[in-house]
Amino acid sequence: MSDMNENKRISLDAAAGLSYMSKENAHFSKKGDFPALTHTVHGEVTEYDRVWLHRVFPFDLEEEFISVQTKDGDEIGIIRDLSDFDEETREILRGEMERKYFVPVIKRIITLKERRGFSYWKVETDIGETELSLQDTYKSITRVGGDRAFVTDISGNRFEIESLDGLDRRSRKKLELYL
Amino acid sequence: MSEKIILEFPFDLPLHTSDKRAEGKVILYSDRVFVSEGEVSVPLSEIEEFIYDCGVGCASVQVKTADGYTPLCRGTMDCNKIFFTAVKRMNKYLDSGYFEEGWSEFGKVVCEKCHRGLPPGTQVCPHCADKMGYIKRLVGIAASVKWWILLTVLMCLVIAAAGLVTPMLNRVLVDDYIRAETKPLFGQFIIVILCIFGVSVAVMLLGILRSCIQVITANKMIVKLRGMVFDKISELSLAGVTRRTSGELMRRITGDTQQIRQFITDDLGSFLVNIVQILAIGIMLFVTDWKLALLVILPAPTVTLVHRLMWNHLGKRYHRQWKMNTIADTILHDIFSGIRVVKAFGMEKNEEKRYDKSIMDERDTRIENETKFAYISPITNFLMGMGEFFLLYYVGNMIIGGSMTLGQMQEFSAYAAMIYAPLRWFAFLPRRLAHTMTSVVKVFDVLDEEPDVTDASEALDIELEGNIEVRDVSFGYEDSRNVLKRVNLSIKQGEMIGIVGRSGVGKSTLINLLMRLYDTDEGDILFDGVSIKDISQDSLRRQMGVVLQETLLFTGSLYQNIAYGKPDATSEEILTAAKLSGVHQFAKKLPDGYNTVVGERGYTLSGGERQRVAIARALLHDPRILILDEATSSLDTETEKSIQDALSKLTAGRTTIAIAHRLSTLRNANRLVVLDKGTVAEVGSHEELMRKKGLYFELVMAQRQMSKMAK
Repeated sequence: MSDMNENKRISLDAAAGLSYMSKENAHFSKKGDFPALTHTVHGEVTEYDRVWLHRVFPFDLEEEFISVQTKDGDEIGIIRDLSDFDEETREILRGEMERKYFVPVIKRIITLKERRGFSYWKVETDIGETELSLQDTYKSITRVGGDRAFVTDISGNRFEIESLDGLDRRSRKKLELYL
Repeated sequence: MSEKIILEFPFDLPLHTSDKRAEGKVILYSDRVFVSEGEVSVPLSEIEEFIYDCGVGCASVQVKTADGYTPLCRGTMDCNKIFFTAVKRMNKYLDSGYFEEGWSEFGKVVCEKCHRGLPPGTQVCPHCADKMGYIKRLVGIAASVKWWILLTVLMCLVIAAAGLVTPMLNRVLVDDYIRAETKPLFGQFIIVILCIFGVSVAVMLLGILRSCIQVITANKMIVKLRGMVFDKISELSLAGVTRRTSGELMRRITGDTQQIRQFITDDLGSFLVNIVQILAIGIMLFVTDWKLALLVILPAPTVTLVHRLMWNHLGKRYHRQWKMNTIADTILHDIFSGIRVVKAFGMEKNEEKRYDKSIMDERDTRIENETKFAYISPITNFLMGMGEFFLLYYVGNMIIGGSMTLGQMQEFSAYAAMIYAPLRWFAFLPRRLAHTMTSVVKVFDVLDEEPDVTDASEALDIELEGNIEVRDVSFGYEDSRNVLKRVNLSIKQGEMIGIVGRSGVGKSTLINLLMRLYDTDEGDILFDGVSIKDISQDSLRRQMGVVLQETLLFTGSLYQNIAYGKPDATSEEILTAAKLSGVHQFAKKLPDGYNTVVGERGYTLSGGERQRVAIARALLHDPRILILDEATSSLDTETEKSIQDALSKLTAGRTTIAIAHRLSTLRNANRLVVLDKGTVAEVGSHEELMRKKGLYFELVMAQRQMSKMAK
């Protein structure tokens, strides 16, 4: 009896039906300004005029586990690792992700004022100085691991702090109360 | 090239790269769309569709032509709302040649004055709000309790005056009697003592009276404020309410009104009293000895400043401590409410660790704060007392030199000590004002919001027959694409319509529109030929019976829960509705019958029983139109059938609209409407649709497959 069960049991992987993409079954090209895809499943070839990319673990893995989707959000497959593809393809995919993800990195906090339940920041980022307003400072800061953090402002803009300990002492001090 | 500009909107990022910002404008002319920087120009005749493409931290707009996609612009999330609305309207313009004006309001995410972000769901920048205007309105609200407030102020003034008299009497006692050179008359001595005693008693009695009056005023005020806010929130459309979280709304009703109440009943009065006190004590001091008075007053500003700085610093720290506490509480709440999951996965130890860590974090902050406080507080107190040493020195000299008596010195130091209390109060006034302003802005933000769904100026109170016509209706919730696209449907009186389709095709949305929880974006819904917007919401909903997917029971008896929509229902009516819906089947067995308390803290009803209560609630109205949104989905097939039989008696002559995933539920329907991707895909009877072998056929086949497997 137990033998029969053994035989019947299939791996979770197979049962989930995740379809990973590789050089062999997926060919990305650039059509206009956006990535297009020729996808082969069981010998059947499907052409996609345009595909949408979506990082599945955006905080942890930037170039791994990227979901490739249609306009309506149906998943065609998942890229396990960008390095599975050749340089040309990597460039196309990286370009598309740079277009989709806009997350400036905060280098320094110039001022941080709290007023009436809101906090107003003036920061220096990798692309210049900017101002942001947070509604609930505690909730707007997401800690990732021990040392990284993401800040989401009122409108939905994202900012990354690559290393909390790496910030200069003054910036760190301004931030400290909210961590 | 002097064509008409139809729409113009800005963007702030380059098309592809994220390493810098950019600036430019997209302009829609009547024949083409043009981008100021990239020199892109696409004729409208080639455009199939405008596409809004939301990324993470940014959004972009593209056009789809026969050749593929052409990017137009990209921007940070500050532009997001503008992009979204612009795309929606540009697509409409492509379709119909009609452009909806007034769009710029939608894009408002930053304050025009200070360019700071606006909190979601508000149009008023908390930073730039007109403060005096708000205070005036507050005073307006306070007018209803003005006599009570005046009475409190009067009491305070009398108490303050009495407080001022005591040191004077003390001086008389010391100088004229205790240290008098000639032996004073015993009778006069007693009188002075009695005076001091009388003043103390008066102060005590007045104090009690003042507290009582304050409590009364405060409660009158809070009831009024909460009533105002709550009434307004219930008046708002569903969209206005769902835009904010329920926690936030709760905070506005409880926390913010409390803050405002405190300001009106306590601070407005205290303001007057403290000013009077400062003036009175000041005069007393200066009259006694102006040089000494200066000595007392001069350090006051520094002292109050030190005090304020200290509290600003500690305040932030205490807020952090409070936050830590909340986090620990949340974890606890998570664990208890999910205890079955925790145990099932054997994660007790992990949860213990998680909770331990959170309370240890809290402990650390607490220790840090308390030690800081332990250091700071005595030191500042000592510093504040420094002035007294000088005073002591000077006054002592004067007494030794004979230019001041012991009584005068006592009187003087009593006044000197007294003046610090009102001064400190004023030092904290800005802080308190700021707190109040936060609450005031939030509360008025709700009070000022115009409900999106409003009755027309001459809303009709009509008896519905039950004919419904849905005409070209399109609708989308705030931040997604259109859920319904040009839906047309005509329902005759007494018909039973079944609405089917996959999850998320807009079935419940259609029903929300029929109940007018939202207004349509385009098109109209007509009841007996009258537009839904011309019928008063009250009369519309009174004639509709609704059973929703989620059945909410309010805390109260079973009886009250059934009578929810019609509190004046008779027992016979309740019983009829209960019998029809099958509530009676289980209610008759309960020891407390219909008086059984249900809801959060009461007797737990099963899913099926709850749903029957909901059905009874809807039937009690004797509604013209019955709406069943997955009304019988949590019942087993057999119970469902018995309820269906009861319902079928009822649905005769009543327009019924039912949504169900289980298609067998709809077998009594006259017609079935199959929705797909927001449009009506098929309409017809079960037989017709089966013959057609379209979407409905597929759904039926899929379900048969499932039920076969179950066997």
